[in-house]
Amino acid sequence: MIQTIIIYGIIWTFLYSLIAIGFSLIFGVADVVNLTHGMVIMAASYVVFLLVSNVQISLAISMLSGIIAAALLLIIIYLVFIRRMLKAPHTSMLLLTIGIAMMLQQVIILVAGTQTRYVPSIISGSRPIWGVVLSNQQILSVVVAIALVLLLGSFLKWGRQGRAIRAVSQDREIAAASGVSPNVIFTLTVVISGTLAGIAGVLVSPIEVVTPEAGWGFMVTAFSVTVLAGLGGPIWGVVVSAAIVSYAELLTAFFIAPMLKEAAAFTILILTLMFKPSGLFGKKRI
Amino acid sequence: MLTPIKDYLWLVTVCMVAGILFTVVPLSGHNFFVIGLLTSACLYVVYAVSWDLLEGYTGMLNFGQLIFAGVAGYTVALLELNSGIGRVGAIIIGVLVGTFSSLLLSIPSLRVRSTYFAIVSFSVLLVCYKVTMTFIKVFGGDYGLAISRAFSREILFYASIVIMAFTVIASRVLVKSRFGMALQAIREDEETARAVGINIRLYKFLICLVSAFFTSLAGICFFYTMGHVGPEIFSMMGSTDVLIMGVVGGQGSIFGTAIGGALLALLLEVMRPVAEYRNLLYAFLLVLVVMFAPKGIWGGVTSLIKKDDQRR
Repeated sequence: MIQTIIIYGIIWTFLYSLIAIGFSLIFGVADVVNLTHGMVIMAASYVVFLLVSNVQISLAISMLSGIIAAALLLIIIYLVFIRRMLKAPHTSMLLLTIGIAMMLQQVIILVAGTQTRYVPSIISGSRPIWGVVLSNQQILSVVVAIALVLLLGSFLKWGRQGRAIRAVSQDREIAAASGVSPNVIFTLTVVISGTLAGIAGVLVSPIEVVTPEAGWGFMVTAFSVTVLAGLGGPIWGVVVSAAIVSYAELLTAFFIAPMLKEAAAFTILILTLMFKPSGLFGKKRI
Repeated sequence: MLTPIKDYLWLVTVCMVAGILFTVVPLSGHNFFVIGLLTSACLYVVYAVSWDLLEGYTGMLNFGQLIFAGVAGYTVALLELNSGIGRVGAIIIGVLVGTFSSLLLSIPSLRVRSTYFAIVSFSVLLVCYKVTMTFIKVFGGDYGLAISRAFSREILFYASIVIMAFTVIASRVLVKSRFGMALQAIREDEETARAVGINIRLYKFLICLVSAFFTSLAGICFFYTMGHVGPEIFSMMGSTDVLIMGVVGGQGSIFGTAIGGALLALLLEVMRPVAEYRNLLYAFLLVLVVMFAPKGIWGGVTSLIKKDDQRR
């Protein structure tokens, strides 16, 4: 029981980290609350599902297509819609992104229906780890997620473009004055965020069921992890916050009811906003 | 110079619309379809206007306006089914609980800028949905709670007209008062508003209560009209419909949002058989209006009138 919670907590910590890093990068850099993030994740899951169930191609290629589709989708959303509205009031941006997310959800429903869908695992089999039987798919997911988080962390810490992203996130004007083009950095952030959303969608889909509504749940997770971590903090801060949120969700799911895991995330969200609005590791005033 | 009569033209218009609606019942020969359609339109006007008090006037974007309606509706349903408190008592408690459910949204977001109010409302909506689906024994799960018909359709229609007229008139008076001016100052610039001595937290807190009060009234009327309240009231699409009505009608204008609410609510009922395409159309409409006509229908109309005035 305790081992199960600990092991599953590690898996979800890193999957949530992927989701939250993608969301908070755009939030921090462009000050855009991207409500399409959850639906982009679902779009990746659905691309994999549709390719696997309708076209006879290998699962690996389907998953790659899912990731590319999600990245392209977010880039298109950015170029066509979000970029034109960057100077508009905050609420306009929120209305715009919820509208696009709604459209995506309806397209998903029209194409794939509202039924719950299942995506098969890339690799079969399972093995016990510390007394908990995990499918090889789950082990693969967590390994890929950990590798990606480490990669991103080092990119943002030491990479030239990564440091530019942090610079724009801290102060757009001063970054621009030092020769960093905010527009280029916005686009780069969107590409990274879309790819992360795609990878998250592909990794989550064989573990969880796939429904059109699931995208909204991911948004609440992304909100609570991002607010708890705070904006402008280090990547490991996001991972720590993701761990807090995922363990709170798991404990709720195990001891109260599985449906209420979002309520746990939400409780963390409101407690943070009430008592530490800048977050645990945040450097920005919110 | 404005003449006094022009100042009260809006009030006359609202009363005339309400009066005309009252005559629909005998004129339509008690046609249930027409009455149902108009009841729903009146109540959506209330939702849209009370949404606009938060977003259009105070800059607090609420993704879950129907949270208040849902909480009030479930409260009345639970009291009707499980207690001997009586109908009037149930309605009063329902309105109170619905009104104070706005504390769920306002208290966590008092210390932070308005973007976070939107995030909190989005999360509260989803959590309400999950809670109703989890505690099946209390809330009836997927199916929700149903009661047998308590009022005739005509009485509910009259009630919805009264609630609508009350909401529109009270909101209009409110936004033109000192209180309303303070709200608009907060919307324009929180720092400046604080600097001129407006207690931002208090005002935000109060306007949430007011908005939730109107929405609870409409929510309870809706519950009796349907004879049913279910988790779909907490669905993302339900509250987004209200938001779309407000935005398309014209944020920051009571009459604009009222017109948007009425038009889109009628379209909503007419397009019920093709719900999937209707949702897609509404979402598309939202994106179009936000990008190309941020002031909505009302903004377009008033700018035309102003141009006309200038020409003369």
